[in-house]
Amino acid sequence: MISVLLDSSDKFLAVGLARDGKLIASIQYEAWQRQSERLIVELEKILKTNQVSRKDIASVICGIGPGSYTGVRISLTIAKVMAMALNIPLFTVSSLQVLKDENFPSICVINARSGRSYMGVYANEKVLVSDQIMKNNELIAYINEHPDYVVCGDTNHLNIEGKIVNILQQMVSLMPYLKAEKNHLSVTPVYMKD
Amino acid sequence: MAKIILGIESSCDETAVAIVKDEQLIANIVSTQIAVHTKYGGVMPEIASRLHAENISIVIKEALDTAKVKLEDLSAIAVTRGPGLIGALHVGIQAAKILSLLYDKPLIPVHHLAGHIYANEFVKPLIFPLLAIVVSGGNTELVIMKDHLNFEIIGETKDDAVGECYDKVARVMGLPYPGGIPIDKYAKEGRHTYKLPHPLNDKSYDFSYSGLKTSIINMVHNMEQKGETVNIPDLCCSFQETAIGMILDKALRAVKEFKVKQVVLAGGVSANSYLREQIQSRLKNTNVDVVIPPMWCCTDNAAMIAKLGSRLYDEHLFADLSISVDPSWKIDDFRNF
Repeated sequence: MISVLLDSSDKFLAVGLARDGKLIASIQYEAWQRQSERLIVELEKILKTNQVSRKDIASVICGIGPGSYTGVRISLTIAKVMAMALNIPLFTVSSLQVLKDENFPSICVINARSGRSYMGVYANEKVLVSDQIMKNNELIAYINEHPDYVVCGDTNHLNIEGKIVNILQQMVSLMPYLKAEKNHLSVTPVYMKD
Repeated sequence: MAKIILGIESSCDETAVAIVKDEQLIANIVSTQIAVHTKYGGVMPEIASRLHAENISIVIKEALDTAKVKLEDLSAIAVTRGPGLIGALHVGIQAAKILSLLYDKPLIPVHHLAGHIYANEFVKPLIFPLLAIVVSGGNTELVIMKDHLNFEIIGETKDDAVGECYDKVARVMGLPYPGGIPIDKYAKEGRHTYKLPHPLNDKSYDFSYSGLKTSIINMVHNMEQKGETVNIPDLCCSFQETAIGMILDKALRAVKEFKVKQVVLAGGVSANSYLREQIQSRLKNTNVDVVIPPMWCCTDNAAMIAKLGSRLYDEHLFADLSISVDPSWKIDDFRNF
């Protein structure tokens, strides 16, 4: 049985398929503000290439934010409508956690604009610092205080080169630890800002 | 086989899904956000988008359950592509696209205002040439239709929409959002005593509401500074007769010039009682038919999107999955997406 994996909360668009807990196909590229056009097109492509029909889809896993408001809503709307239509479970995961490096504790970062960043610190499934919004100068200080942590995500706005991982591979590695949303109909993104 | 169209609407502050089966409306679900936006005195785009994302799958499910229709049974999915709030439109279009992909159904992008015009088909068939008076919180335009799906904008607002003007004027008078309802109510108790500007009182079919809005805001502030009290019913009446009067004057001129056989109202402001009464009384004893949409059609809904979607289905006006939204889509461009 197939799991569909989606995330478009930051600059990236990520669409993948997993079978029995293994990533079998993935598409990931920068698609800033083009996720609305591209995400479904890439999903169509990946389903066709892998000869997956809707009846093969057993679950959907989606990044829930934080990130770009519109970006998060695009993938989460698709995931929610998919779960409703196919009557399958929806699993959500932090859009920061899927940016993590699999070998080292990771400071995962997404640009929150206006001089701030979303950040969370993860050691694989373990949450070391839970997702929050932080001023960029404070985050830079935090990063400097933790030289043993890997900085992950697109951190050009901090003038730091962050490590870009395969988001979908990380999502798959977290699958055993995710719980299905009890009421997927009313799931909302994590915005962290009013 | 029955033709079953599912329509999705999320362009502003209503999350709505409807199903039309062989031209009959069999489900019409609207999840309104008005109560939330009332707190802010207007539609907050980011909040609207958040509520759409929160409610979209619930509303789709409720429509399917109400109509006892399975997604497999649908002929096509119709969705509002624009005009409207960009973030709000995105939610509806993603929902429509994933259903279209999963169930291999044609995807029909629908123009929101064309939908409002075609809502009148729930009352009676359209007769051409037709004049549509399209008045809402986001739009004010006069549209001539010589035939089905043939839209020509003969005039439109150069600045604010009439509904937007109502909201702003209501706000300065301390009346709640949406402003159309309280202003319409007080106007009935007042007299037209305030002298207000009548912008773009010319030969064109265009409108301007920002000057009228500003003059009322300035007038109210001046009176407050001098310690004078504003006569709310009289100001509501003066404003309403001026704001709607501009539309009536130009619409009636268009009726003559374009030899119109039917006039239809479309959009949120078509719920306004003065507009509804006046258009009927001024065209009484003429050969011009006037269609007044039922109140439920004046606010945003998906019934009109499914209804027009059903006509566009016959035209095979289908989009591929790479389409996105167009917040400023023009009605005469509805075939281009």
